[in-house]
Amino acid sequence: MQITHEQARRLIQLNADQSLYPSEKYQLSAHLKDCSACHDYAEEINELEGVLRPIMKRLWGQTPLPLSIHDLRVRSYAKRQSSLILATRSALIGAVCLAFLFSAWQFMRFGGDMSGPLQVGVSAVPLPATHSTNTASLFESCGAMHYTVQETDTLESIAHQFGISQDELIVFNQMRTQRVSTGMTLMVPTCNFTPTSTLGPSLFTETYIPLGSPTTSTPGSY
Amino acid sequence: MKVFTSSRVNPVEGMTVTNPSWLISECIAGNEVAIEMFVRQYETSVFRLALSIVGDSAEANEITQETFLSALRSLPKYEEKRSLKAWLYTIALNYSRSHLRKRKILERLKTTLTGIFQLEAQKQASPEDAMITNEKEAAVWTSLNELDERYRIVIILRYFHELSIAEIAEILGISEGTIHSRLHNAREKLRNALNHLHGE
Repeated sequence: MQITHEQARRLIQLNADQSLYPSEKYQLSAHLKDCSACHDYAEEINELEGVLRPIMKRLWGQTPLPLSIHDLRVRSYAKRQSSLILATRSALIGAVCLAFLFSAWQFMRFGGDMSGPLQVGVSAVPLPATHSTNTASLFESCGAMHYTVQETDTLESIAHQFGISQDELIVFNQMRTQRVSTGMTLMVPTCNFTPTSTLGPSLFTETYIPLGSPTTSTPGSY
Repeated sequence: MKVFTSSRVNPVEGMTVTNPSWLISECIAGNEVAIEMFVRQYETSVFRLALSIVGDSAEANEITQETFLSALRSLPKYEEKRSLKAWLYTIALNYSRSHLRKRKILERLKTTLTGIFQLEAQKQASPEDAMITNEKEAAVWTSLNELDERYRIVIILRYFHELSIAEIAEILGISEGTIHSRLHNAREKLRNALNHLHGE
């Protein structure tokens, strides 16, 4: 089969790459016998290759300085080990930082909260029956006391004495009226309580009842 | 093909490894004899590849050392489906190109400073010029250096390192068709340079 000049030149190039099929070699050979232009082209490519190879060999055909094998081995494995050490160290530092951040977060979240789960319940100090002076004890947690109404007492005066509102007394004792009678016993709620006046020993029962305690009886009588 | 035998006093000299898997695993294990075999087998080829790109033997020696250091460190990651020679050549080519880039930056800086301070630029004859013996070689050499890097490298790998088209394709990571195309274009330019010399 006849090939064109362009096809012949392409085959000449592929021949220089040693990539011709046998059938293509045959076609090219046949064309070059009859085509002087393509024959000259093939000669030019051969001449070029004849100049290229020796000049490259002359310029770059040197031998290298021999490498030190021991040095290569030490440096390549030292690098591998140092990479491993660096990776381990980075992982440890990362873990320590994470632990520190977590602890800081926990402290900020729970550290200032005195009523949190770690706090120990503070038991209220019961008020002894004999003390009743200006230095009456303070109750740190809420509770209730029994108070016996005196002759001159009113709901307002009792509330004032205990530093609470009349409404608190009414609600606490589930009173239907504001009337109090002499000898009546009222339950007085006490949270951080400091009595405003001297109270007689008979005014208080000996029992301090913490709010919510199963022993808390129904508040006062009315 | 010579085969390694343990009975020799210096088993490495003149040896060619026939089992790359054994060589690689022994090099990874730190066997100094295996490392020597690996290095000596490819040392000259790697050096000549570096030299053909950077053109300076001191730099080429440095690149050879960097290539083997990198290869020994990366051996655990080497995939055996690739040819060991092509893998090594790829590493050497990358280091060579890196050195060339740095050199070009320095040369540009030097040119700028020369211009700023109006210094007289000293034209130094390159050592290669002394190796050119005739006009034809001079024409081809000049034309080769003027080629774009992607054409120049395929000519060097084909005609100096005598690698096959498949090997060149593997090293450069491009198709064989592209390699053929680049070789054709490069030869055309070099042929034209010769023709100009003939006055055609």
